Amino acid sequence: MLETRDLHKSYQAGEARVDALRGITLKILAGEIVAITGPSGCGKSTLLHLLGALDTPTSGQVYLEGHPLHSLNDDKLTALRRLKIGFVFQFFHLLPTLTVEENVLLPLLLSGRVNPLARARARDLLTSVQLADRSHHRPHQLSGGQLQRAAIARALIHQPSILLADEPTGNLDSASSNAVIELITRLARKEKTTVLLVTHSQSVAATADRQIQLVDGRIQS
Amino acid sequence: MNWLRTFRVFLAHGGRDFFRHKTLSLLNLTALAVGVAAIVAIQTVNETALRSFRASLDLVAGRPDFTVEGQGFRLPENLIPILRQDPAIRELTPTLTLIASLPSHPGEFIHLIGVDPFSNTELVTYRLQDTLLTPADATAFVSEPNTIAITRPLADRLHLKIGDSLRAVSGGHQANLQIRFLLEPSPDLIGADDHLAIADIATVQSSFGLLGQIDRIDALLLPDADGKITSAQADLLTRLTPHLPANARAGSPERRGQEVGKMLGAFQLNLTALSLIALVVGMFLVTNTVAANVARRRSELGLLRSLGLDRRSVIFLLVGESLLLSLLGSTLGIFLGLQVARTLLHSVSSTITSHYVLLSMTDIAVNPWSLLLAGLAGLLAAGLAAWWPAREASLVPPVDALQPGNSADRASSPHSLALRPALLCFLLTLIFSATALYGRIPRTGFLAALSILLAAAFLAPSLGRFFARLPSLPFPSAILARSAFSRGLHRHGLAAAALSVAVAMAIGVTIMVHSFRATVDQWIGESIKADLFIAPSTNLIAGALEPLDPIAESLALATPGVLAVGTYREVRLFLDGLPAKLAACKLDVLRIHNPLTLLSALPGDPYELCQKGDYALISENFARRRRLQPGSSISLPTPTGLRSIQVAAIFRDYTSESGLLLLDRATYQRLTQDQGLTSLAIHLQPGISAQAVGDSLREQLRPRGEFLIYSQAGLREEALRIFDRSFAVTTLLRTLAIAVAALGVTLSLTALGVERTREIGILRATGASRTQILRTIMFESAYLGATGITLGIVTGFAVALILMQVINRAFFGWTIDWHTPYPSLIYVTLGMILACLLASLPPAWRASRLSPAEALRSE
Ligand SMILES: Nc1ncnc2c1ncn2[C@@H]1O[C@H](COP(=O)(O)OP(=O)(O)OP(=O)(O)O)[C@@H](O)[C@H]1O
Ligand SMILES: [Mg+2]
Repeated sequence: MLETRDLHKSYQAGEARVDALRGITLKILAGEIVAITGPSGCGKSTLLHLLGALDTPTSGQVYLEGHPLHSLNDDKLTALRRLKIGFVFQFFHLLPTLTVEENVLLPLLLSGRVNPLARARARDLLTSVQLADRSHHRPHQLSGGQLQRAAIARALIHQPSILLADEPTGNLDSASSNAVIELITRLARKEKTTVLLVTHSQSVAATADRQIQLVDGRIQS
Repeated sequence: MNWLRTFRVFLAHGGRDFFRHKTLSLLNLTALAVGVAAIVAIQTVNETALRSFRASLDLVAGRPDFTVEGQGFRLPENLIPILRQDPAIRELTPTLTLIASLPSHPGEFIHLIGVDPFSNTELVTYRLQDTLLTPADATAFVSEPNTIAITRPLADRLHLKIGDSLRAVSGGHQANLQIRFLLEPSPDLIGADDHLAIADIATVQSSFGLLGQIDRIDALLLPDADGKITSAQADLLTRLTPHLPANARAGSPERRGQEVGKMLGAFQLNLTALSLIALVVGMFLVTNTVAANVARRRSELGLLRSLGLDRRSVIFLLVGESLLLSLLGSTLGIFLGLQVARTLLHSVSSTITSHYVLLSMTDIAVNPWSLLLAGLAGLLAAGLAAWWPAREASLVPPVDALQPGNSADRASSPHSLALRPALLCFLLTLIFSATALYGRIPRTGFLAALSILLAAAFLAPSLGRFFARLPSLPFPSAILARSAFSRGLHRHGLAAAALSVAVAMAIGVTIMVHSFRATVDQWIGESIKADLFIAPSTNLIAGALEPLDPIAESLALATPGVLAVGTYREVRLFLDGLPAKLAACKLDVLRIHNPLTLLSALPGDPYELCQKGDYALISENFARRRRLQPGSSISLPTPTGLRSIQVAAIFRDYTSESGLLLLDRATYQRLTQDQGLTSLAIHLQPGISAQAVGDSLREQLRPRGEFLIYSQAGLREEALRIFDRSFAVTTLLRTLAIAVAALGVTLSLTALGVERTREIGILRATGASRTQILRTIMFESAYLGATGITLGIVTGFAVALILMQVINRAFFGWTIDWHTPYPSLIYVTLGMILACLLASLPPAWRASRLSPAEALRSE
């Protein structure tokens, strides 16, 4: 389902070169929930960006359901993100201008697929993240945990085959944090979505099917 | 000194920030610079016009303590001994000036000044000694007959050298002048024109039939006991007055400067108004720029606040930083402005020459004070503009400013309160219009225009919100743009305001100029009935009023096919301290062949009144500006004394800005002893070809010098050409305003683009394509453009109304019929839309090219 081969990513910061990833080879099966852990700066976000078709590797290959992400152009990558990928970020990145419901519908809006059916699905998702009564609120009227739950609903609205979450609980207290993780795993299993979850928390990592630990741009086995 | 250290840290940071967002920083600087440049350019052009005019006067007579000058008509030479006898006078020198055409060099002329080389040594700034003349030469200058000195540039251009003779023609007199000296004008002498030529005053008098006549006497006075001359001036004036002819004006030369100011007053007013508008648009731009900067640095401020920085320091830091930025921008603007002034110079100089006085502006005159003032205006605008957002930023609790993502959303959003100031401004517009029209304070007319522009500016955010509430087009990018626009109103509000001001002024000026032109054109069509016109060529080239060769009239009368010949004489003078034109016509020809459009008249036949007695016809603007009616009387200074003239009728006329006082030719000649003519209007018998008669006249006149012979259509074209040239500066500044406003759009969108980098990252991560991002930003610009342009068009009509019905009426007293220039309005509107779209392209392109991963990482 998702596969990388000898993935490298380097950043050029002025004179200095930072090798964020130094040869990542991994394989993730459909429906798996995988936790990525590792110390700060080891390249977790970088890896997630590459897997999520947000960035292109310096060398190496990434295949998402057989699509070679490393050699596709921006339009193709965009199309893949639209159809197959859902994101949840650390700082509840919702668009502040849109209501909660509009935020959830955003991926469908961008691909021009907003219809009554989609709206019904958005309502369902909002109910399952317990925000049904908040659907017409603006993001700044919501709490951190609520925002993150809305972001999860948005990440799943278009039934992506893979959900990428970068420290979705990094900004939350432990109670909300547990609720969010529980929500992601429950919904993912229900929708049969593959999940890649970056986290610092051992307890969160423990709930995953599998853990991948990164150190200094490499997988530690 | 703690804050000083903090400021240094802040600045270092600011500096780095500046280089990190290169495009935005450059735009900021450009915006500031353009705002200041607009002010500088207009100020400089103004200054140059005034200075070169004054300099052209000083050129001949240096800086005298006392001047006697003939206005409209020349003075008798016998004034010289009267003055010379006076005990207060230490030194005096007469001058006689005329414009002569050079028949062997078509299109060329000399500005000939007759001087007395023996008496003018102390007075003249343009000393002959400085050039090629030695004192010994002074004798040669007067003893050799017909000696003339011309400038080296003119000699080079016409391939003339010392020893050559030069044929010159003026007022029907021809002279063969001998070039014996070349003048080397020093480059720093403003007003020195290469047409300048100098001859002995006696040579000029005898060669051009001006025996016994002079233009001016300049004198130096003996200081009184206290070493002052002020009282000497006053005493001298009292002693002299009984000896002076009515048309002589005597006094200190300062008064002359004031009169120059008055003469160019209307022109300067025009420019001042434009510079005011440039200032408003520039201020908006600066405000926008600075506000954007402050908003962007909120989180940094939050950090500093959390580290213990107090509120006052926050304001201080932000305002200080803006001032530094604007210092740089203003400096750039000053240089840019001077450059613009240089390019405008030619068009301004020819406008002034054709309307007011012969003026040569070769290089700009830079007044350090006005540069300083413009720079200060830029600084002030930046300081004020920074103050408000800085205060606001200082009030934000540190935690809020530190919270990423949604901090900008909580930044100031425009309030509907802006409706109240808008209403207030609208009221002010009405009040100022009333004071301009009825309160006799014409200048408030500009305040009226300014108020209506401000009213529009205040309405911009509300209108923007209204547009954002309308249902959007059913495209994803349109929907996103709409919400982004409504949230970005804190930034867009200002850009839309600047845009609406620029559009309003562009539209207002377009309607005014078009209506004016159409009115003039229509009037020309109705009032110019003659088939051919003859004038001396110098009158077109140098804007002079040299008399026509009298032979032309008799030649025209003798030409077969000619039905009647109308004559026209015009002189410029000051009446009751205001500039005016005194004109004379053969009214019997005029009333039959080319009747005037009379607006009101005394009972009876006004033409007949004028032919029989001391009656005059006056133009509408002459009447309005001096508040005259049929029956009012005017005292007219003439060489035969002060004459009281009664107004017989008021007629419509667009030939003179200062207004026209028209006498019958016989009355004029009786009162002024002036036999000269300025031009002829020839009416042909039906069926006679104007072309043929024109050619025949041209042939007969050829040996007598250079003449302009216009057909009816040709004259009309010429009139409209002069009209268009007069408004060239206006049109150019209009374009500048549009460009500045477009820059504001770019700036606004770029600043928001930088603020929203992270959001663009989310959109891209959620599946938005590059094209969608590009389109979203272009749609957003469309919202911005729609707001500014709609508001601008509506306000533009109001501005046009104020320009025509308030400002024009109060200052010039013309009647301008409203003509809506639909095609130009459509062009201007389309141009603005295009400008907005173009302006949105760079920021839209930039945003669409952002790498999603990078965008998500941005702070
Ligand atoms: N644009 C960039 N330019 C230069 N270096 C970068 C850039 N982005 C990331 N890096 C570097 O790449 C390395 C990996 O960064 P990354 O964000 O993937 O780490 P992370 O594992 O997500 O860390 P954290 O747990 O703190 O989020 C870091 O050393 C970082 O400094
Ligand atoms: Mg990370």
